[in-house]
Amino acid sequence: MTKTKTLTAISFVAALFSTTTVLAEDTIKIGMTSALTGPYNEFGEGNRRAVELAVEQWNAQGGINGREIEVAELLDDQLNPDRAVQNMRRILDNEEIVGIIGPAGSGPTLAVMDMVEADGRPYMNPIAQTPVITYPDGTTGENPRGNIFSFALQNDVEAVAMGQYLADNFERVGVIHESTAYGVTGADQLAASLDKNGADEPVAVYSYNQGAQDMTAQVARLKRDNVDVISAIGLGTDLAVLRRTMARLAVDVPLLASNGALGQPYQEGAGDLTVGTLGTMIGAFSKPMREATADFAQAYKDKYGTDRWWGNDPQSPQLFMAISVSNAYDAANILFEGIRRAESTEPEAIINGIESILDYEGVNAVYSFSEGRHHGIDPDSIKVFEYVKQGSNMHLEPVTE
Amino acid sequence: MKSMLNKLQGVISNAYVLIVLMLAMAVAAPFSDAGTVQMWCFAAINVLLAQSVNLLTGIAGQISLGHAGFFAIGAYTSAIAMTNWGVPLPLAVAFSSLMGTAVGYLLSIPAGRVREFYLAMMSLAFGLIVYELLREWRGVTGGVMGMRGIPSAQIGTLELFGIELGTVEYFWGLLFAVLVVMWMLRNFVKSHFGRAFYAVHVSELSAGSLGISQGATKRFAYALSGCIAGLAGGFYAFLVGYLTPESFTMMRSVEILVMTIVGGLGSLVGPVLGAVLFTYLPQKLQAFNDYQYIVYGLVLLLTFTLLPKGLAGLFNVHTRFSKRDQLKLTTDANAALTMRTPAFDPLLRVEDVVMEFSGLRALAGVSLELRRGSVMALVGPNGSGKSTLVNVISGIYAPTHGKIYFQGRNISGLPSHVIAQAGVSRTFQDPRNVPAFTVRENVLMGANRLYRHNALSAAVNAKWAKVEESRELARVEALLGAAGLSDSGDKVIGDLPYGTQRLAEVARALASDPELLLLDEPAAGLSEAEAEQLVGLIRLAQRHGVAVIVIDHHMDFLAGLVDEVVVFEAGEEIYRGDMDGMRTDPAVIEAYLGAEETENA
Repeated sequence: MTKTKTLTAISFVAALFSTTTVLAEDTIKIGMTSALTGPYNEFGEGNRRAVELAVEQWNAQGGINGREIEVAELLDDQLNPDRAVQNMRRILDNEEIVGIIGPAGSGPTLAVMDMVEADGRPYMNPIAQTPVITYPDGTTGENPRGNIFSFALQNDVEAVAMGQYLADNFERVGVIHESTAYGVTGADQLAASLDKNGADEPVAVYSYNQGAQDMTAQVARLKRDNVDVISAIGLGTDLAVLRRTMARLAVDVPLLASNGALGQPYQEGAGDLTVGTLGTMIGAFSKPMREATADFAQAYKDKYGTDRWWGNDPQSPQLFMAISVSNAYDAANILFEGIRRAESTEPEAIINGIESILDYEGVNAVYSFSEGRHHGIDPDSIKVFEYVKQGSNMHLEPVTE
Repeated sequence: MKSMLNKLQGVISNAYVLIVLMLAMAVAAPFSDAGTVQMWCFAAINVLLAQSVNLLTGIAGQISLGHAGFFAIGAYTSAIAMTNWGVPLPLAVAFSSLMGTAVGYLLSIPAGRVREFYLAMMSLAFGLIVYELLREWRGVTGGVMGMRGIPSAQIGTLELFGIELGTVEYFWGLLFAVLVVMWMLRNFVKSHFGRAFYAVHVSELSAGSLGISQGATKRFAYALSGCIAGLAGGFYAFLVGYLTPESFTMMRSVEILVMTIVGGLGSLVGPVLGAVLFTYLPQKLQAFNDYQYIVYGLVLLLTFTLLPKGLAGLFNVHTRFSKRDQLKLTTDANAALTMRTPAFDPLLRVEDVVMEFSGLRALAGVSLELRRGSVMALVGPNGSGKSTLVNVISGIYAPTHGKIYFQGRNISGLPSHVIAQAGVSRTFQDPRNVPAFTVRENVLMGANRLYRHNALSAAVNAKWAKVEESRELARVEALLGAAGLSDSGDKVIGDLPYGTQRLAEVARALASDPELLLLDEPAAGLSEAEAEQLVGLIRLAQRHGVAVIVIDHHMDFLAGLVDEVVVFEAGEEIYRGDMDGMRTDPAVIEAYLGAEETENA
């Protein structure tokens, strides 16, 4: 083999393997990896739209302290943990990136968490609900990872809101949850929250396997236990099985479900039985909206129209925008606000800037951060909703203030 | 274009180029950004996975739709070993490949009982079971939340004997492992073990006749494949530092299989090409946004239709299945066969053998004896039981009644590979060679029973392995000469004329240096010249004291060759004696031509 051949081969391979970064001057660069395509892109693509809207709005006002913002790395992980790790590495390798918007689910987020923390640049978690992402010790409000800020509806926070509502309205609470870490910890947190609100502990706690086709045994036992409400922690398709089983066994008590269960799969699976189902959800888009929320809704509609994230009703956006779109919008805005306050793009300065934010009017909530508080959504941002039928459409109407 | 392709093919198929490339990457790693080196690590892990599937599916022919299961077992094993028990990195990784081996071996037991679609379904189920276990066995695996806090090279928490390992150092280790695995695999597939894997792949019946136990070979293939996939998993855990069941879904298994197929099943270079392509493809496809799944699908569709042999086929890369290119062969072509001293005791004794197939009596009490160095012909109309007798002697059927003694030992009912190991070789009515092998490799496969060295010696090219391989290659060379196939030795047998394939099959049977040779219609379809070569081969065997049984219809072919003829009719012997006697025997004439009409008709 000749020398030239070797050189050709090496340069061929070098070209194949190298990742190129285009240098643009003097912009503030952020990076994002999310499920932009693939079966789970509902959240990722919604997040991308939100971030681009936020960037556009800031740049229209002259950027941050006179510098334009640029999404320098926009990568697609399809909710695949490996892909997320590769993408995040690429983002972190780009020394010019000053802030990061993370993936659209707990799996890929947990996969990139350690490397992001080790890197130290500010990272916004828009969706992943697991509290350990922000608070590795598992206690919300204590010892957050230094550079991680969360805009997700953490499942412990949701449990508090659920617990409050149950304690106020019911005596004999039955809990049913999926047999996953999410379901088990959710049920524990719900019991703790009931206790905190002065209610009795649940009279019954049962579990089911994800994807279960039959819940007759669990529902029959709940009936025997004479519960006056069933609280469910799990996903939509399973909740539909539960609801149908309840109807079949004539268990005529209210059903209160976690936010992940309320979406399209539940409506499709439960059909007309959907009506009357209660659930917890970020309440930002219920009427009347706060000014910041209404402004966002208008801006979104102007830019993207009434797309699938907006929902069926051209007049008002659907509640789910709060967990698929506006969460990332808030995340981007808080990041930019932190940079503005820092007047610098040094990680430490930005983090200090974010931690100095008090009562920022965001879309999903009014945000305050501090050294110990790195999450944005509190129980008071959450409301309990009920499915009602309007014509042929199902709607979620708030039942609490 | 064509010349470029040829150049490229020369570059790609050259082992040294691969090594130079890898060295270049090792040198370049410290000067590249972490993301690039990390992608190389992912590519290296994919190479291991693809080689693992290739060994099982491409070479041993056992389809696997559940390889993510082995991968997961490896990853969780090493992660648990290090985080919970404090096992150092090399041991943790070794432990995961051991675990992969053990699981592979266990899986082979049910897998050995099913084939094709059922095997595919079973391997799929294996992957699903592992996935569910990862999700539900929370105390050990962390369940759906996954395992966090695994020491990882990319965040600087991985240590080896107190020294911190970064991504670059990790890549070096991984690269070294890939090189060693590839080198060992290369030596392994070029040994009689690799040829045995392929033999089972192509025809289990024929593998048995070569003394290859299909059960043991499959178990070995599964264990080895599990070992490599477990190793890949072990490295994966410390690369990413976080394990979740979602990394080991069915899609992962499919992805592993797809990259191996696109790369080229059955070759060693193919899986490397496929693994590299599929590590980078998703990254590059991001440019297609919403259309990337469509583009991905199109890439697959085009590869499968245009390149049935994968990328390796495009570059015309072939893996050869003998160590001929690695050895300096002695030109001293010894006698192809061992010289046996004639003995008076019969070598083979068939006693009153009855073979029934659900009421149909194919052999109705056949007895015969055969001495060393004698040639016996079995003659009779179709369906008279000749092939059945050969199948019973070679162990493909167990006789309903009766006994068969070979060298004084009762072999009736023993599995075919045991009988072949004892020195009974046979050919089939339709040649059962490995079409992708060269003539030489096919003949060499016949020598399988003569090898004594173990798999490890084969994989590291130990002296023992080289000596045996050289010895057999020399014998094969002599046999090819005797069969008139010297010029076709390096040609792929599937491309050659039928007659050549038949002759090669006879040479293959002789390569086992048999005591007893069973030939089922060897002359069918041969030209006159080829038939003469065949006669030469049979005479060669006879001269060396091999006992031969030939089934054939060509009386001219048999005439000068055989010592004794046995004629069958409906499972019974109707004549025994010399050729001349047979031609005039009324029972034989009646069997072949029908009885003359009687006056009352």
